[in-house]
Amino acid sequence: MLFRRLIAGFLLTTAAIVPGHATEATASFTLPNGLQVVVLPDHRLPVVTHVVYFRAGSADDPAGQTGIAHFLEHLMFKGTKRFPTGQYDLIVTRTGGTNNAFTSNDKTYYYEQFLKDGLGRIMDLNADRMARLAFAPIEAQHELKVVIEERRSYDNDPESVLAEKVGRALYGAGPYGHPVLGEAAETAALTLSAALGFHDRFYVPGNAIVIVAGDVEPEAVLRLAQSTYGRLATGPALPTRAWSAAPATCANGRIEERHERVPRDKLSLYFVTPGAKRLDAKTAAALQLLADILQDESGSPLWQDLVARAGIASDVSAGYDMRLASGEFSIGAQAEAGIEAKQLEIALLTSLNRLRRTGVNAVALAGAKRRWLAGRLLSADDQLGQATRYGEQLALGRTLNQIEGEPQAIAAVTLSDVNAAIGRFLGERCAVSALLEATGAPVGDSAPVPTHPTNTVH
Amino acid sequence: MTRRSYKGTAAQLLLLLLFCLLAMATSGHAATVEVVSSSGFRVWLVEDHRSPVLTLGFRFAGGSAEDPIGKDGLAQTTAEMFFQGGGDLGADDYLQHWSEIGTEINIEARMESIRGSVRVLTPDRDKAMELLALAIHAPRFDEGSLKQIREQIRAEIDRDATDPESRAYRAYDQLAYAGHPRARPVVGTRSGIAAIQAADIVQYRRHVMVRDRLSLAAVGDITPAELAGLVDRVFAALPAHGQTASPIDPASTSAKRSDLMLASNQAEVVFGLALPGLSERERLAAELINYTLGGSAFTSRLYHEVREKRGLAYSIGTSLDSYSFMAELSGSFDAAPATVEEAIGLVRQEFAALATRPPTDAEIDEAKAALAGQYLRGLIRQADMANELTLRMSQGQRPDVIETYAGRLAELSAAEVRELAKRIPWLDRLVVVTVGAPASTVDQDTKRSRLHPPPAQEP
Repeated sequence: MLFRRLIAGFLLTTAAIVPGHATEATASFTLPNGLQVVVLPDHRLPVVTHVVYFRAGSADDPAGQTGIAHFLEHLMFKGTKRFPTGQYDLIVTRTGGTNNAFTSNDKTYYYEQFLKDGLGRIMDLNADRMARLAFAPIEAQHELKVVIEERRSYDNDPESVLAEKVGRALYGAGPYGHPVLGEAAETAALTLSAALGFHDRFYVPGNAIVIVAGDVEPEAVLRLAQSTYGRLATGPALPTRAWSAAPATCANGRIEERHERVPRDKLSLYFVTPGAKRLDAKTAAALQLLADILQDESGSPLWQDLVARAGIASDVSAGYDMRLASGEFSIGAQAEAGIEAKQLEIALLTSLNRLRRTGVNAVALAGAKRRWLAGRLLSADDQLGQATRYGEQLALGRTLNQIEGEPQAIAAVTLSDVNAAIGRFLGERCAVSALLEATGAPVGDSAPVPTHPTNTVH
Repeated sequence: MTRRSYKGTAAQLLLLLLFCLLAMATSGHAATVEVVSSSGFRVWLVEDHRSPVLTLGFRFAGGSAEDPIGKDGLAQTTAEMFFQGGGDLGADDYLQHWSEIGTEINIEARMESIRGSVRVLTPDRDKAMELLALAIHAPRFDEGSLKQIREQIRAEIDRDATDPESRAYRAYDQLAYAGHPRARPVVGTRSGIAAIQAADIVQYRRHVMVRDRLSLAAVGDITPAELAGLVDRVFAALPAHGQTASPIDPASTSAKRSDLMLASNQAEVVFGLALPGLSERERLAAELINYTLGGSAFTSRLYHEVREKRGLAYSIGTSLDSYSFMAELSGSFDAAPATVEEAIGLVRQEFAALATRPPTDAEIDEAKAALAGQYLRGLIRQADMANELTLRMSQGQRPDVIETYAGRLAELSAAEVRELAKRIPWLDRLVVVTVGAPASTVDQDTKRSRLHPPPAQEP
């Protein structure tokens, strides 16, 4: 229907048209300059969310210039020739909109959410800043101070300091070894021209994905995309990002961080897995389900051991973060008052040893699948969440078919898939334990240690 | 109720999800309609079959403002106890039942309401509504649960007490509204929480959780006929009337200032004033004024003066809160102790300027566009939309309140916005509280010498 019309009308001018399920409302097209656009119609309210992903992140920071991907993200709001400093925020405001941006290891994204009539202007703004930035150098100097201050606030936070050390221990000199905000000395020396060089290299149409979710029709989005993004030159050859194809490297280690502002001890274990380029979707699905099982109050053997039986932890959490060059599986345990991270470490490693022998059971797996599928349906009303879910996966190299087939992939995971994943990835190799330790009297509950220590936000 | 095993449900859910993708056909925006059940419940419904999810929102008029003296935190405790069991199910079993189905449940006490929502996948709807009905008409007040809830709330009170920003807001509430219910913290006090017994909650529910204080809204996958049957099943057992709520007295503020010492290298500042006696239309005008003054994150007058021009604070913002008895404009920022007085001076200057230099046409147009967007963006999630609808129903508004928002905003003239800005005696009512290292310990010379470097260079 809609899709066929799109295909019939634009096949000649577009390089590729990637349908999801033929009957779905999701539409996708690729402009001749290589820019991919995905449309997720959602007509409940006259609101639209526009997201641009760039396949560029801190892992692409050139040697000696760590932090440049993140610095550029800040500079993207500073102005262009057509929209001088200050205009961006004003225009977004006039569309009834809000905006933000986030830099992580593999990718950087920018979003605006606004009233539907503003879509043309928003695409114009984004296409224009993708083409070229232009503002007074003093703006960059000022923004660098903001970034340095942002970094300093992390240095003040014991959990962030620990997370940074974990990143170094896990990845060393690898692409994920340095913080997204950069090494302190290098961040302070970043320059506007280096940022613009990064922009020239990575912010090209073929390296970008635009997701438009909300009260829009795909044909209208295509027309607007052609008259805005469509004008951008194809640009230089796409960056190869050779680091992303290399096998995941990892190290073993044990990090301790003590601080008086830690209210209660916390222990985290990190395990490195192959990245999205090397790990099949089924194993990735098994790891997602495993994480959910391990933090489920009623079904987690770790929870049973540490919280219910021993009473030494108040909470057990687990997560799986998939990235290009390597994935990261983490397990965390929050100590009860008076319990030390070292005690948690012994207990958790013992419990994990038992888990390696016994595996998880079918009831726990069924529960995790049910929660995953229910969660997918319950989150359908979150427009930005839907857009970024597609964007994250596309940036990882997943196809639309794979993204929309995720529920089937989850449903197809077997108990032996999950238990094989435990044996393969939660072994003693490629593991780092991180101990966050209190030196003073507890003052209250702390926030959990971030699961993704090297991912940082705007 | 019987326990039901969930074997095979993942497969059923998968089919459902595939079906939902097929059904995501496009249509126009859904309008809000009023459904009246056979036993007389009114529910506002936004029908949306795009996804097999129903969100049911319920709101009882009566929140912390009705906490009895000495039992501060009773509304909060009542809300927290709401999902702690029902019928013959203790808290653990009851919550286990919820966790076995695809749901999200929420409840919270506010100053003038206890409001909750249940989000549920269509195949689990009946079971969810059985569970909700238990919480409504067969609640339990087990001593173990109550003890746990008390501890939870006490921990929250303690956390607030160590957080400079929360402390500043508490100090502001007490300074500005001493003696008025607005001054009492929703979360309660340590002594209030300790004093609350099961009998208090039973009595409070009997007064507040009654039909004539209830507003209902549903968003999502349900037809009007199904919805009418559903609310009858869940809420029919509620008593018709409880204690008639006496309206809360209008609150007013007068110019006051207080400085609290706290070991910190930052000063936290909270400021604000009461705007009693505004009509619905004037409240909307006040929203526009607030946006121009400090509501806009990057383009407001305060942002421009305090952050952009002088770098005295990293962020500064204001918001307009609406209560039955008043509207309130308040804001906050944090600054280095050396420059906090200069920043407060600028805040006062911009309040004064609302009368002498009221919002321009351009500012008002920008504010209108921004607010129209902000309002609709705030309704994207079904639960947020349900909350908005139950609030408006309780105010006696019409079901089309969401659809007509932009029109009401557009129809306000710039002249009447400016007239309101000029009429309010802003500075006469402005209350300012600082928490942190006292500015008075920093002499004028030091202050001046530290004005110029941007905040990034402050220690």
